[in-house]
Amino acid sequence: MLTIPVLLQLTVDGITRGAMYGLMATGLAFIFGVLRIINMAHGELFMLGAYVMYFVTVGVGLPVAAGMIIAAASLFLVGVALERSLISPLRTRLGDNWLIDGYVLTIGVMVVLQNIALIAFGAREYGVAGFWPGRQEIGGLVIANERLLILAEAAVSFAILGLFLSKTDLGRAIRATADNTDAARVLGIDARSIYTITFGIGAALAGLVGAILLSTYPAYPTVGGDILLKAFVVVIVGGLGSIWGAMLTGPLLGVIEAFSTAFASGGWQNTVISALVLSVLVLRPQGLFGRQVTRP
Amino acid sequence: MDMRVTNIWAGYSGGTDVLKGVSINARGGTIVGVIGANGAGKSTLLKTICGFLKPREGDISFDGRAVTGLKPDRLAAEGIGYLMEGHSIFPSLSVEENLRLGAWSFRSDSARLKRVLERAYERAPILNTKRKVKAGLLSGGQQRILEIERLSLADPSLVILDEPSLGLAPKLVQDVFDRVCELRRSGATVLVVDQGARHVAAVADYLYVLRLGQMELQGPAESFRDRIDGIVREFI
Amino acid sequence: MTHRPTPKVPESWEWFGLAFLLLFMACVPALFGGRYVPTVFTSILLFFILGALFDFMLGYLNIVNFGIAGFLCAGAYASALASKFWGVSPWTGLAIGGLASLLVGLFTGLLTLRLRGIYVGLTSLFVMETLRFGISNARDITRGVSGLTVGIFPPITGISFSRSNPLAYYYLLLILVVIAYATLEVVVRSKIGLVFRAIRDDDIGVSVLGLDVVRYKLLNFGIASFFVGVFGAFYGNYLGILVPTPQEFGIERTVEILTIAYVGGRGTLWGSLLGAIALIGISEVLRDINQWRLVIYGCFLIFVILAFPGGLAGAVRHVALKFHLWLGAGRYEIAGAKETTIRSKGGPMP
Repeated sequence: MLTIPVLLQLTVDGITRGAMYGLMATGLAFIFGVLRIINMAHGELFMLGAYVMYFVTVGVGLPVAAGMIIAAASLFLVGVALERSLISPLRTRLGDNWLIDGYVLTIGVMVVLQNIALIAFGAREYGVAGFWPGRQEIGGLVIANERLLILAEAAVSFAILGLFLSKTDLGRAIRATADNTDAARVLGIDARSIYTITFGIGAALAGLVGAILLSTYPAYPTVGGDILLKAFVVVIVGGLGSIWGAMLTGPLLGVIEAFSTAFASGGWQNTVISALVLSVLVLRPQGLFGRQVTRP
Repeated sequence: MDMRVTNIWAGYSGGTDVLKGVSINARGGTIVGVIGANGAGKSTLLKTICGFLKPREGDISFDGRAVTGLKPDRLAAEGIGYLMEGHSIFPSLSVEENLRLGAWSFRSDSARLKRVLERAYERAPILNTKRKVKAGLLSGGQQRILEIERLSLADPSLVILDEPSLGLAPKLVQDVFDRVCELRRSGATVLVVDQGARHVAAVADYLYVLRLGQMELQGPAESFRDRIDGIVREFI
Repeated sequence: MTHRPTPKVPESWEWFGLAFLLLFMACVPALFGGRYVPTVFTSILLFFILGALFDFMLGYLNIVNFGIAGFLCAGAYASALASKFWGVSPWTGLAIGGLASLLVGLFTGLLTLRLRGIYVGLTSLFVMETLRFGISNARDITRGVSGLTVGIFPPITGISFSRSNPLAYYYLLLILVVIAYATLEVVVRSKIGLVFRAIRDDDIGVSVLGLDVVRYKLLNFGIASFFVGVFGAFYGNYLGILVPTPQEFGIERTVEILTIAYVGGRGTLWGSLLGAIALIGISEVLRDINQWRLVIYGCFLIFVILAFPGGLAGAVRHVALKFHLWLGAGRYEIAGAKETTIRSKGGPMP
C-alpha cells in the first residue's frame, strides 16, 4: 500500500487537515504571545463563532463572507467584554503572579460558556454540508473543494492579520507589548488597552475559525473541548506565543496524524500525538518556534 | 526640566526598604550622576522615580509640579525618556519599527516623524544600515544605541538612564557617554546611574554617591574628579 | 514598617470544627435509610479528599495539576485490571491502584522538573490525556469506551459490600478519607510542609540553602498521586464500571476537582470539604436543571478567583474571627482586613 500516490495523497490530506489545526491554534497563540495566559475558553469562543456563522448563513441567509465578518466582529466584542470585566481586574489585583490564576479563571469562563450554550441552544449539532461541494482532481491527487475554500478563507484572514500587525501603528504596538511590556509602556503605549484589544482579537480569531470550519466542525455546545486540545497540541509543538509557529506546525501535525491513522490501527493516532506533545514539553518546551522557557 | 526627589523611602514588597531617605536634585540642562556599588539602590531609585515602584514615603516633582504616584505609561507624555536597565529593545521588531515606536506620542504627525527618524539615522549610521534587521539580532552595543536613539526621538526634556554601559565593551561605553553629553547639549536634563563611576564622574555636572540606600556624598562633579579612584575603592 | 500581630482564630477551633463536620458526615447517612443520602455523601467525601489532594499540590507548591484525573484513572484501571487478569482481591487492588498512580505521579513530576508555571499544568494535562487515549485504544485489554466492569469488594468481617449496601462503601470510604487526610495534615504541619511552602514562595532560594528541591517536589507529587490512586481504585469498585471518557478521567473531571479545591479555599486542605458540601449540595438541589449546576460551578470558580481567593474556608475563618473577637479575645483593630489578601509587588500595574 506504500505507493507514491498513496503517500502523496496522505500528505496532502494531512496538510489540508493540519491547516485547520493551525487555524484553531492562532487565537490561542496570539493571546499567549501578549498576555502570557492560556485562554482555556478558546474552544468555547470557537463554538460561539460557529453558532454565529450558522445563524448568519443558514438562518438569515447571508453570504459566507458576511458570516465570517460578523462572527469575527461579534467575538471581538465578547473578547473585549471578558477581558475588561474579568481578566483585567484579576491582573490588577494580583500583579506579576496572576498567570496561573488567570488560567484557572478562563477555566471558569469555559465551563460557564459551554453550559450556557447547552441551555440556550440545546445539544443539537448545527452543521452545514459544505459551502462548496465537489472536489478537484489534480494529477491523481484528490482535494475536496470545501478544503480549498477553507484554505482560501484562511489565507485571506491571515493576510489581513499579517498586514494589521506589520503595517499599522496598533499592530506594531501589540507586537512591542508582547516583546517587552514595560519598555512599551515607557514609550507611552497604553498596555491596558493593548491587552484588551489583543484579547478581543484572539477571541475574534477563535470565532472566525469556528465560522470557517463550520462544515467540518458543526456548532454544538461541547465542540470546544476537542478544539482546545488540538489547539494545545499545535501551540505546544509550534511554540506558545508564535502565530507563524502555529500556522506551520499545524500542517506538520496534520501529516503526522494522517500517517499514524493510516499505518497504526484505529484510534492510536491520539495517543501518538499526545506522546509527541509530552516529548516536546520535556525536551524543548519552547516548541519549534517559541522562546526559552526553562529555568536558568 | 528640573527634577526634585525628596526623602524617598522605597523597597520591594514584603522586604525591608532599599532606599532610606534619599534626596536628589537635578537642575534643568545638567547631567546628574548617581554612582554606588551593586545593591546600593541606584536602580531602585530610578524605578521609583519612573513609577515602577511606589515609594513608601517621599516626594517627586518635575518643574515644581508634584508627580509622586506617576505611572510609567505617563512618562512619555511628561517629556521623560527612560532607558531601562538591561535589554529594552523589542527583539522581534525591526530596527526601524523599534525606532518608530519612540515616536509613539506623536505618531500621527508624519512630517515630524520623518524628520526625527532621519536625524536619528544621521546620528547613528549603523542603525540606518540595519533598518530592516530584527532588533534581536543586533549586537549589545548596537542595541544600546538603538535604545538611546529611540528615547531621544520624542525630544525629552528629562532623560533617565539606568546603567547605560551595562554589558558593553569599553570603546562602546565611551560612545554611549559621548551621546549622554550630546543630550545635555540639546537642552535635556540627564539623570544617569551607572557602575562605571569614572565615566559618570567625567561627564556629570553634579554627582551623588549612594551606599546601602543612603546618600553618602554629593557635590559638584569637579570636586570628585581627582579623588574618584579613592571613592571607587571605598564605595564601589 | 511596623508589623502588628494579626489576630487569628485559635487553632483548636479549626480542629473542633473539622471534627464536628466529620462526625456529622459519619452519623448522618446511618440515620437515613435508603440509597440517596449515602450516595450523595459518598460523592461529597470522594470529592473532598480529591480536592484536598489537589490542594496539597496547589496550595503548598503552587502547582495546578491539570492531570489529576489521570492519577485517578491509573488507580482505577490498575486495580480493576489486576483483579480481572490476575484475580487480585480488590482490597489489595487499593494498594495496587495507589502504586500505579504513584508511578504516574512520579513520572509527571520528573517531566516537569525544569518547567515553570503553566507548562507544569500543561504537561500533567497531556500525561492524563495520553493515559486516557492509551486506555481507550487498548480495547482488547481495557474494553475501551464500552466499559470495563469492576467487581465489588469481597466481604470482610461479615460485612457485605454488595451494591445494595451503600452504607458499607460509605464507611469504608470514610475510613480511607480519614487516613489520607490525617497523613496530609501531618505532612503539611511538619518540617516537610514548611519546605513545601518555602519552595512555593521561592524555589531558587530554597535550593541555595542546600535543600534538594527535586526530592521535595517528587515527595509531594508522590504522596498526592498515591492517595488519588487508592481512591481511584475504590471508585472503580464502587461505581462498577470504568469508561475512559473526559467526564470520568479527563479534563472535565479535573475541572470538577479543581473547582472544589478553589471554591473550598486553597492552601487549607479542609476547605475542600466545604467546597464539596457546597457544590454537591447545590448539584442535588438543582438536580432537575442539571446544566445550570455547571454554570453555577463555573460562576463560583470565577467569583472565587476574582474576588474571594480565600474561598469558603476564608469566609468561615473571617466569620469565626469576628465571633472570636466579639467574645472579647483581645483589643485588636482589624479594619476589615481579609485574612488571605494577596499583595501585589510594590508597583502599579496596567
